[in-house]
Amino acid sequence: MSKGRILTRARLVALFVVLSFSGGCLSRDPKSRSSTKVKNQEIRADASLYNMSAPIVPDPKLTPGDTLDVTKDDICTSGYSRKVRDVPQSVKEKVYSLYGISGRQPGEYEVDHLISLELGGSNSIKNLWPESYKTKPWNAYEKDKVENKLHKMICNGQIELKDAQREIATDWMAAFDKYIGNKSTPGADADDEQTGPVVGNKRSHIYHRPGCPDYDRVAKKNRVEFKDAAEAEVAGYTLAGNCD
Amino acid sequence: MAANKKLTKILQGRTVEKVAEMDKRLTVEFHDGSKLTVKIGDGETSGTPVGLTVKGIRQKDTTLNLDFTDGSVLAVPLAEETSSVMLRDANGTLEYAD
Repeated sequence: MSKGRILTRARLVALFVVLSFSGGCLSRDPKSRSSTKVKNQEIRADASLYNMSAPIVPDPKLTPGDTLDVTKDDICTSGYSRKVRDVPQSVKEKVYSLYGISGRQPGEYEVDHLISLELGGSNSIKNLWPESYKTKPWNAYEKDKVENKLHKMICNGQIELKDAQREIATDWMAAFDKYIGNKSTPGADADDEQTGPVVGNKRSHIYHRPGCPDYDRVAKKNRVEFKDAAEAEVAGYTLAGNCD
Repeated sequence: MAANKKLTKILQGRTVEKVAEMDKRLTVEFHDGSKLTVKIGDGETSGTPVGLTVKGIRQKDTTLNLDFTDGSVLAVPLAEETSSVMLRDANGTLEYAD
């Protein structure tokens, strides 16, 4: 079976798992009112993924990806992401509007960069999309993992910046399969690093994942929590050396 | 028009040495060798700030204003609300991007 067919099958598995979890939220998008309709269009599964109200891949017309004029040296400098301005709320609202998301719950979506800041992505609306935290198995937490992995690979000289940008913009799930491990079956990466809150130290700008040796040793006055490693890194924090 | 605190904090006190516009890009060079590059959109860039010192930066939608200590303003039409402004120091190190 060709790689393309394997990937398509993986997408179909992901699609059906997402449909089974997403329930009524499909009704918010007129393009995908009926899960039955989507199931009957298996051949167009890839296109359907970004037509759902909880898109797990961006619409390539709305979000083709965009990069800043930066180099490997720029992005591999500690604190790089802190130099990039936060996306204004007005721009985030435009992104939700473009994707037809009129109502949302706190913690349901992240207006995410298709090409992440740490990979040289820009804040252009062409690089932003509403990514779900809730869909399974693919969601914002999973994308964070491949972003972090690619960032490390760039800085270690294992992949060119432009290649990493192209791969994540083209198909971030394929990039996940390629660099993290095959995720066609939900839970395939169960041994991956834990997700969830990480703890940072305001003074040292070092962060610790759950399970790391010093996770509980950060003094209360210096302690700051992030929802995950990606958020800590965007804030300019670096993973503790004893936490790899 | 809201203050861009992040960029204001960096640029405040720097004096403009040169302004150039080419290929839809405005470049503002400062006396310390730093360089602000702005992707510009349609519209006129108003103001000739050479020799003036930055007091603050404000932005609303696709208009970026550089306010100077003498009260004058350089108003720049941006290509996009985000992803249009970049600042590097004299060594080429990135100081700011939006």
